Amino acid sequence: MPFQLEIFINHLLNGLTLGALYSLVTLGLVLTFSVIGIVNFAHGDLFMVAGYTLFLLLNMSIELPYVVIVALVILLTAFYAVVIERLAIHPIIEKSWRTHAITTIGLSIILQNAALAIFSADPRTTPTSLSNTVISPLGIRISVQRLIILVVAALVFAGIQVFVKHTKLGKTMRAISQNREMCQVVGINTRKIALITFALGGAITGLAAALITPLFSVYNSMGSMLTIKSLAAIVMGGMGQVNGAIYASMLMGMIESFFGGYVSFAYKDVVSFGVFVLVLFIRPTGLFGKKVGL
Amino acid sequence: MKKTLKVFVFLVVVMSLALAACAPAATPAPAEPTAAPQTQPTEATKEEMPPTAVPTEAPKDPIKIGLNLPLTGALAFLGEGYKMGIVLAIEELGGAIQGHPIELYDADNKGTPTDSVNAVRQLVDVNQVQVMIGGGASSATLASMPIILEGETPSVDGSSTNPTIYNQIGVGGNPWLFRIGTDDLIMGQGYSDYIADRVKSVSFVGDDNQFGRGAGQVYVPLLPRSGAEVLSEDYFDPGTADYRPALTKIKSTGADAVLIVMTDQSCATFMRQFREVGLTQQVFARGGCTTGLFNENTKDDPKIGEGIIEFSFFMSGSDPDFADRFFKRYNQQVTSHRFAGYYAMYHTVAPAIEAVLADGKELTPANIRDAIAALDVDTAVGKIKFDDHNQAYTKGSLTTNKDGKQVFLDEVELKPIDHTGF
Amino acid sequence: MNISKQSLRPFILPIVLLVIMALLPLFNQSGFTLNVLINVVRWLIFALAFDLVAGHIGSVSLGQPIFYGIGAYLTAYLAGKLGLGWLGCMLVSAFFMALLALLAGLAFFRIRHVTFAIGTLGAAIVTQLVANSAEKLTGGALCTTGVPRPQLLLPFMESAIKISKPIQFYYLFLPFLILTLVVYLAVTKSRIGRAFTAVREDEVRASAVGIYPLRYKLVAFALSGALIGALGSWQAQYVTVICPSDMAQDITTSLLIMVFVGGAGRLSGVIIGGVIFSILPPFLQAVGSKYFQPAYQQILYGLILVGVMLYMPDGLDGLASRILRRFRGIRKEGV
Repeated sequence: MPFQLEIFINHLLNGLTLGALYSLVTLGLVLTFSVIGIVNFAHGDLFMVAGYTLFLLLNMSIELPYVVIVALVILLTAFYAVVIERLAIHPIIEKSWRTHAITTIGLSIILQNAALAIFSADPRTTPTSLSNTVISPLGIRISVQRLIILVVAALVFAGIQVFVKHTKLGKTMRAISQNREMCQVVGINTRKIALITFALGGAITGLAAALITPLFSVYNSMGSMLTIKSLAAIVMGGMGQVNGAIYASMLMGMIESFFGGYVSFAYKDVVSFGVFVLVLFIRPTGLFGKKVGL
Repeated sequence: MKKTLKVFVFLVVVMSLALAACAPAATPAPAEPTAAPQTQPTEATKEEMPPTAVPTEAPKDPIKIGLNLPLTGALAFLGEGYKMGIVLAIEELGGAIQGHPIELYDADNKGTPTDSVNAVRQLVDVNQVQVMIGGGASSATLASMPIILEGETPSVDGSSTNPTIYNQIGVGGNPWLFRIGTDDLIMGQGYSDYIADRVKSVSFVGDDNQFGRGAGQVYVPLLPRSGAEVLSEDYFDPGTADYRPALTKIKSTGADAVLIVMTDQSCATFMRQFREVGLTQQVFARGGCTTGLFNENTKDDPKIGEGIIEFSFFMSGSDPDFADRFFKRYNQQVTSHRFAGYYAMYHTVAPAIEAVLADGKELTPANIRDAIAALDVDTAVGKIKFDDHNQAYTKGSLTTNKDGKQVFLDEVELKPIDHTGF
Repeated sequence: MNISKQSLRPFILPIVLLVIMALLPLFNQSGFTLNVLINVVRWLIFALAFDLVAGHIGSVSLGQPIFYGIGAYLTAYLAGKLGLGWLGCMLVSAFFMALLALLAGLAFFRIRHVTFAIGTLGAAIVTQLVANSAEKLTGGALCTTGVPRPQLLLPFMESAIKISKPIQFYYLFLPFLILTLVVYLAVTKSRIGRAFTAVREDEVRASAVGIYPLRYKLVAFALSGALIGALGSWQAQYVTVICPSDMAQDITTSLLIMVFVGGAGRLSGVIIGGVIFSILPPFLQAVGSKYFQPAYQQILYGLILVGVMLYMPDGLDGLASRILRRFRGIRKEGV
């Protein structure tokens, strides 16, 4: 096959959107992971619940504008995250990561099967008018929804940088992620910060779901693979490094797009997870794992 | 500690109840009745039994029917679909056959071999069913076959499309399993010729599961033999996949047409992105790209599915009257699996049981097996009559989408085909 | 050798378990019961092998199904293409999986804790995806089918017995559980076991007293790999079909539940967890299929899991020994 520039640019764009999509999903997880030290295996399932929330809101008898719906999904998902934190995470927060992992695996089983019981196994589509509007700058056709994901992802990442470095709450979170005991000693209420972090992670997950599901569909078991890919990105990025996790997610998106496009789709996940495992062998601390904390 | 436990349990119960109660009310058209079919089987057996049983007679022995289906996990939508069809069939039968009430027993095989063995063991040994209905995941069916043989209980399969099964059932060694749906090889020959008559090259895309991969094994070698080149072959995890990289690749191969083998769910997402990328090739499909569910999922833009030509079996167009009844009952469109479940129950298991009772024989699994083997039932999709490999040759159909609706193009008679080498 | 009452204690539970398991088929020989019992044996072996790594050296490997799956595929090849006998298949699988575990261990034990868990999970996913895509080698998503069932050749017999009935499978399988229990006890109750504990508690201190952590980690990993490889080989011959889904994450989830809800690093915990969580799902389904749909059974399963984690932090085993202690009114360390 001869090299075609148009196809190459298309793959690049696909890689970018896929990476943006993975990093939006990962972001919610890496915050709680880094600040609270929770390995949340139910993260993808929270995304799924947010997706169903979007589905319900889009199919209400009163038609709300999409922006309002997105805001509602963000708020509701933050609320779900708070409920989860209060009921299941709060009591075990001081326990080992194994306890966290098993509790959240239990949560994941509950959420997936509750969704199965309520919504049946048929995937639901949540198209918006934006996901069917296609524009073609420079001859590359792309839906407005995809473009919005790219823009919002960029804005969210910029926002996170500012938040972590320049706000009091952000600085506190960063401090906790670096040295938890010390923060407790100086009188920071780490449990309160844990709750806030969970709410923030939930809000970002809600935003991700509200933007991403219109391109795909929602179904009960969709969360598992998302959780695993996010966890891989976090570890590859260097345990709990927010920026590292974002870069790693982008890398995974790029690998999938280019390897899939030029070599084989059947092996694209093999390669992206293979790269992840290789990175661990070569640099056990992850790609960007030098500093401690956020 | 005790108090928090109580609060937690209480909250969980309240939340799940609230969610269960809210869901149908909050979702108007498509999602509304989804909760209903789940509770239906017990209702069907519990509430509808008494009126049908003649009060003067002593209640007759129940007929126990086992469902060996994927009811949770990634393939749960298949099992659910089957069950909806089966429940509708039982309701139409009045909950009983000649006064014998029908009891349904679920066994979740999760679509995996190990769980399928467990499921059949449960149905045969614990529930002691007289006949089973299964389908959807060929690997689960293959793993359950030795247990079905050992348990000597007939099983009617709706849509395990793996050609390997053909060689192993009937005279192939296992007389207990029957297939009413044709397999990929039987369907593949005719459709490959059909495609090759119209285009010179094809890009193949399938779901990355037994369904898509199984079809790929048949179509990728058959198409070139029929005269159409296969320029690419790709499989995707159903659901979450971003198909754009694949679509970009298809664009670069410049194939005349695309052959997609996907179920209703992934096909809707795929076609949406197909249009986004701006591809204009002819789309051939096998699976769920012209079904009611597909059109439901793309109703916001009917142009998405316009003009797809699909070859399938158990399509709503081949039995429009049933499709209407199904929609009335569930307020949902029929799919091939829902169709298969209904046909397995109404047109296969029920007539066989009637035949056993008409002959005055006992309702043993062996007698039911013999009756199924001897069936000759005329249905809207052709005869249900099994050959020596326990295969019925129900008709295939060609359909397309027009203005967001399925249009029935043609019926296709399917014939036995040489299965050596599979 | 001085055999005191104390030193016999660890053997009481496994012996009671084995006696019960050996006698149960006398009371009920239905295929279902035997299949459940076979599953109990399978899960106990799996959980014990998993616990050698997760509970005793504290490295939670989420990649153990790799050994299970490759062992099974290897058996399909050995038994199907080369005609090797059942025991030979199990031994060869065990050998190669021990080798693979050694190699994988050398690479993976460079990382620790959560990173180790997620890294091994990544490796498991890679293996499963390769099995799914390498159709020529594994049959892909359409699975490898038709693995021959075991044939037992006993002395003084003309022809081999073809093992096909559940009861034959069960009694052929039970000795494997005995072997696993013996290996588990021999390793954990010896000097090696104490070294394992030292490595788990504090690697730096362990190396300071001359216990080389990597060596012991490799020993545990290779043993675990060998047991699981043989188990996969067995399972392939029992079910006759092997699919990529046999390496799926569900298996790891079940293992985590059995071992950590039961009580990691303690034989009694693994036995309690393994028995309960391999009997509970089929029981819920068989009894509940008329009343609940499977999704609700799974929800209940999840609730139990979360509940145990929240309210019984030391697992079911810890709860059991607390109750026992209260009854006896004495304080004793758990087994």
